[in-house]
Amino acid sequence: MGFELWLVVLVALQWLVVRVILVVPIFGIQNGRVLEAAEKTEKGRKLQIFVLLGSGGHTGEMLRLLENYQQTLFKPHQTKLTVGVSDEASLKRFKHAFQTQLDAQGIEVQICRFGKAREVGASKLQSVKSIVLTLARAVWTVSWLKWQFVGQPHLVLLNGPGTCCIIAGWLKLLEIVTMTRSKIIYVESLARTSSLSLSGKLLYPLVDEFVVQWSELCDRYDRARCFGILV
Amino acid sequence: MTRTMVVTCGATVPFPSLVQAVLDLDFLTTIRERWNFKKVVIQYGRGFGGEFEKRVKALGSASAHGKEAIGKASRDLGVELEVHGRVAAVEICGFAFTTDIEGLLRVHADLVISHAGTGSILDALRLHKRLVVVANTGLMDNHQLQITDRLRSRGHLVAAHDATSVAVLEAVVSAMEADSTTPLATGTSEAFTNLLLNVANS
Repeated sequence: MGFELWLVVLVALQWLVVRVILVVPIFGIQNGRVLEAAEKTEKGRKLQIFVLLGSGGHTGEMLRLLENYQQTLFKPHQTKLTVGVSDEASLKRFKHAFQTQLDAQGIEVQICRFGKAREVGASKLQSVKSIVLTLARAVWTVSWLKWQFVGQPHLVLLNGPGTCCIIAGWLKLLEIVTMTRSKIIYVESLARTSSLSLSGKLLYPLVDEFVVQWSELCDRYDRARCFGILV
Repeated sequence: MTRTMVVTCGATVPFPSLVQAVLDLDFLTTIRERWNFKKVVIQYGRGFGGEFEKRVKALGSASAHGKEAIGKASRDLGVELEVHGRVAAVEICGFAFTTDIEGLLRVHADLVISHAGTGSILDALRLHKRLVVVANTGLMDNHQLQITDRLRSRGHLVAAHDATSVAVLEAVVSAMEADSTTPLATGTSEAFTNLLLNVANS
C-alpha cells in the first residue's frame, strides 16, 4: 500500500515538474516566437484584459500605457476590462481618464480590490504582516479572475507594484495545475534606467513577455524586450 | 508678453525646499525682470496649504485679495486655488491638487519647474514645455535622480543640481536661453502593439 502511494506521489511530482518546465518561460520552451503582424480577435469572443493600478507613479504609468494603446486594447463591445486597484486615488484617476469613453464604447468594466503588499518605507515586520494579509485576499481575487479567463483570449498587464508578484505568481501556479493559459505582460517602470525593480527581478523568469523601457536593460537581460518609452 | 511659471511638487509627498526656493524675493524679482514672469502657479501637494500660506504671508504678500480675487484667478486657471497673493509684483497662485494638471500646463505654462516624478516630467515633455526638474533628494530611493539624469543627458530637460533658489534660478536661465530641447517621442510603438495582440490571441 505504502509503495503504491509513493508511486502516485512520484508520478504527480513528475507531472508537476514537466508542467513547470513547459509553463515557466525562463526554461525556454516558448522561446523563438517571432513577432508577426498580429492576428485579429476571433469574432464573438470578448478579449479579457486585466490591469493592476498600484499607486502613485505605477498608476500613472499604467494609465499612460492604456491611453497610448487604447485602440489596440479597447475594442468597442468586444472587450471586458478588469481593473485591480489598491487605493481609491488610483481608481479615481482611472475613472477620470477613461470612464466616459469606455461607457460610450460599450466596454464592460469591473473593479476588484487588492491590499497593498508593502507600504513605501515600511519596516520588515510590518511588511511581512501586510504581505500575508494581502496574499490571502489576492489569492481569492486572482482565482476568480482566472476562472473568467479560461478558454477566452486574455491579457494581464502588470507594471511593478509589489502586489504584481502575488498576482503573477498565483496565475502561473494555476496555469501549471489547471493546464489553462495565463498570459502576462510585464512592463518595467520608466524610472528603472539601469537595474530592475524587485518586482521585475522576481517576475523576470515567470511572465510571458518582459518589457523594459531603456535599451541598457535590454542588453543586460536576454528575455527583456525594449520598444523605447511606452508611457 | 507676460509669462506664467507652473511649479509642481507632486501630489502626495511635500517638497518644502522647492517651495522655499521659488518663494524667494530675489528669485521672483529676477524672473519678472528678466523674462516677464508675472504669475507663478504652484501645486504644493496635499496637506501643505497652511504652511504655504504662512510662507507667502511672511514675504509681505499684498494679500488683501478677498474671495473675489481668488475666485477669478481660479476660474482663469481652471483649478481650485487655496492660496492667492502677490509677492515682488508676481502673482502667486497655490493649490494642493488637481485631476487635470495637464490642462493647466497646456494652456498656461511657459516654463515648468517640476519635482522628478515620472508623471510630471512626462506631462511637461509631451506638451513640449521648457522644463526644469528638481529632484527631491529627501526621498528614500534615488530613482528620481536616475530618470532625471537620463533625460537630461538626452537633452530633454534641464536639471537643477540642488533645491535652492540659486540652483533653481541657474537652471531656469539655461532652460530659458536654450534654443530648443529635444522633443520626447510619443510612446506609441507598432512593435509593442503587435506584442500585445500576439500574446492576447496566442
